[in-house]
Amino acid sequence: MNEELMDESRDDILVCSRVRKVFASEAEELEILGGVDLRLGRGDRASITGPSGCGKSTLLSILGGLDRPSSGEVSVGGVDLVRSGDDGLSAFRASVVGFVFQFHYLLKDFTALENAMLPAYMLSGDRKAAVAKARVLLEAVGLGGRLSHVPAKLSGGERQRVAIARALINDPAIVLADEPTGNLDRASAKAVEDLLFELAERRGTTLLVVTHDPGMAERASRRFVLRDGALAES
Amino acid sequence: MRGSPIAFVSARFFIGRRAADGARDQARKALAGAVLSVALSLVPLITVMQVADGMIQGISARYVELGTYHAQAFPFASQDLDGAREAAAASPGVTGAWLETQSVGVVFANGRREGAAVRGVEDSFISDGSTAAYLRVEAGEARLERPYDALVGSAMAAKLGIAPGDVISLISLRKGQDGGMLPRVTMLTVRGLVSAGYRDLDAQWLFMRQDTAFRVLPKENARSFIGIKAGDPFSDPYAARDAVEGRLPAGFSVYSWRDVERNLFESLASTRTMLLLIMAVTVAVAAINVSSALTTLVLERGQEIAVMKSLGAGPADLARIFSLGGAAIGGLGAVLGSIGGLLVSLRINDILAFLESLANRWRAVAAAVSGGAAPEVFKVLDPAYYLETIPVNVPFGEIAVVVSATVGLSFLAALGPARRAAALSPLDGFRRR
Repeated sequence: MNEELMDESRDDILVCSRVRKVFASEAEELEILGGVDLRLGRGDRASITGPSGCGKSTLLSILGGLDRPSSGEVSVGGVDLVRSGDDGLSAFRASVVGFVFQFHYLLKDFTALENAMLPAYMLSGDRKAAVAKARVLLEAVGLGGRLSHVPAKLSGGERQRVAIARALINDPAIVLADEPTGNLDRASAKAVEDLLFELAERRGTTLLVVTHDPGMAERASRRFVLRDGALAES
Repeated sequence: MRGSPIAFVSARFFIGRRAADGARDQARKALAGAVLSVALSLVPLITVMQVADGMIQGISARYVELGTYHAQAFPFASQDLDGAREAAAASPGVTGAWLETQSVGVVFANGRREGAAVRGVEDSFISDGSTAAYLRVEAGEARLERPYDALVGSAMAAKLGIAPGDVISLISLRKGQDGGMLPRVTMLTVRGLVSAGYRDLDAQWLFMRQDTAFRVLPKENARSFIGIKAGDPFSDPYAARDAVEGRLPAGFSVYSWRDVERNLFESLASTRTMLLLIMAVTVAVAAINVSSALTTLVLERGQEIAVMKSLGAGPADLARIFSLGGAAIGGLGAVLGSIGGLLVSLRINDILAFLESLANRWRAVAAAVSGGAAPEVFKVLDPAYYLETIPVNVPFGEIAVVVSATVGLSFLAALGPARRAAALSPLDGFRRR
């Protein structure tokens, strides 16, 4: 990472600079992100909107260390995601970032409690502590009475609440949410949205939400629009 | 990731929960199939291992205790057989030493004749505990009190149609003064019919008193030696030889039973090894099943693997989850297969008897329906060459080696799918349904 970026990023939790993502096939090269710059400070609650297929999820994957940019610099929580190896990215995902996806992506053979505690258990190896932490979080998201339910026995909104608890259990510096309410009915979506923003605010966690929902986007303190591969703050 | 979360995730991935409708997914069915295939491949392996060991030890024990002794001392430049026997009997660790004179002859009775391996033995050899343990008395008594008493193997007795109290003629050949062969007839009284439980021996043995045999059997066709027993001949095959080494009069050579019966023992051991190698191929095939079941699991669980990666599981963690899972599948299959193999081999005699009875009934019905002659009694194992009942040895040490090897093989077979899981990109995994 260059020195300039390092200096500027001293108080930022997320810094990405000139990030490009190009999907190349034999026939053509498709540029999804054409030099995206983004900075988020600690405790920011930001949203990214934009038309379908504009690269919102791709950008979120890069910021979460699930994908690598074709070029540019990305630093999240002080971790240089461009130069980190596979093990470095795994450690980053375990401790720095929490994900909430459009589809809950809960593990179907695990109960709500097990799903929520798994990141903490994987990180520390201390099952008791992980269970205790997960129990508190699940009670905070209103699922104290559904701890032993497997995902198949939970409603869509409840599954997403378990996913939020799972994303927060390791006290990540930043939570990345990709259309977290996109798969829910209106009432559930509102409940999940409230929960996500309230918990992030209460815990001082930086939140970056990709959404099609203008209401949710408006709720963020910083709002960005991704269009034609470029990100602009509105 | 540490060991305990890996075990936890691995157990859930591999054992999991039933879906709400009670069904299991394809991968779980494939895993159950892999466990079953490992178990089924081990059942014949463990059975063959135990039965072959039992057969080899059973046959060897009969040869050793009834035929070769634990060691034999042959005079090559001495006639002092009595002195050698006394010296052998007095050697530390020796439990018995007997004179024996062997030759061959033809036995006549009831107008029939049979070739015989004639063994002139001492009565105390017949009554010795280690001999009596393997020599069953079928009729009469196993005694050689009178000079012309004889004990006849049960299979030979059946062919000749003789019973205790019958008189038989033993014809041996001696060289005449003109160099030609002259028959010598010795009349013997059958005192008992005996069986070693091994038809090969029962069909050829004729026991008579050693002093009589030494006197009546032609010297040029007979050989005399000292038979020696000492301790357990299988834990230390050379114990009897070593016990008398240097204690016999000059002019004697001593051979262990392993040297005397080397060809038989090596042949049995080679057959066993060959059988086990063939069976091991089936275990290897079962390990391939483990690999394909795990590949199915990786393909089916791509999305969950991606979730694990998004939660911070690294490539090495995923590789460990799947490779250890593969080893666990192999271990479970190996344990089940070993138990199955143990049960089959412990009941092998009953199973063979059941199969024989089933086959014989079917053949009898088939013969009755077709109007043909009644078929001969069918035997799975030809009693002329095998023990009447198969002794079963449980080689726990070897079973432990087989189980460990199966676990190792399954682990190796799991490495391919494990690497595949480790290399799966999270985004590719999320795209899977």
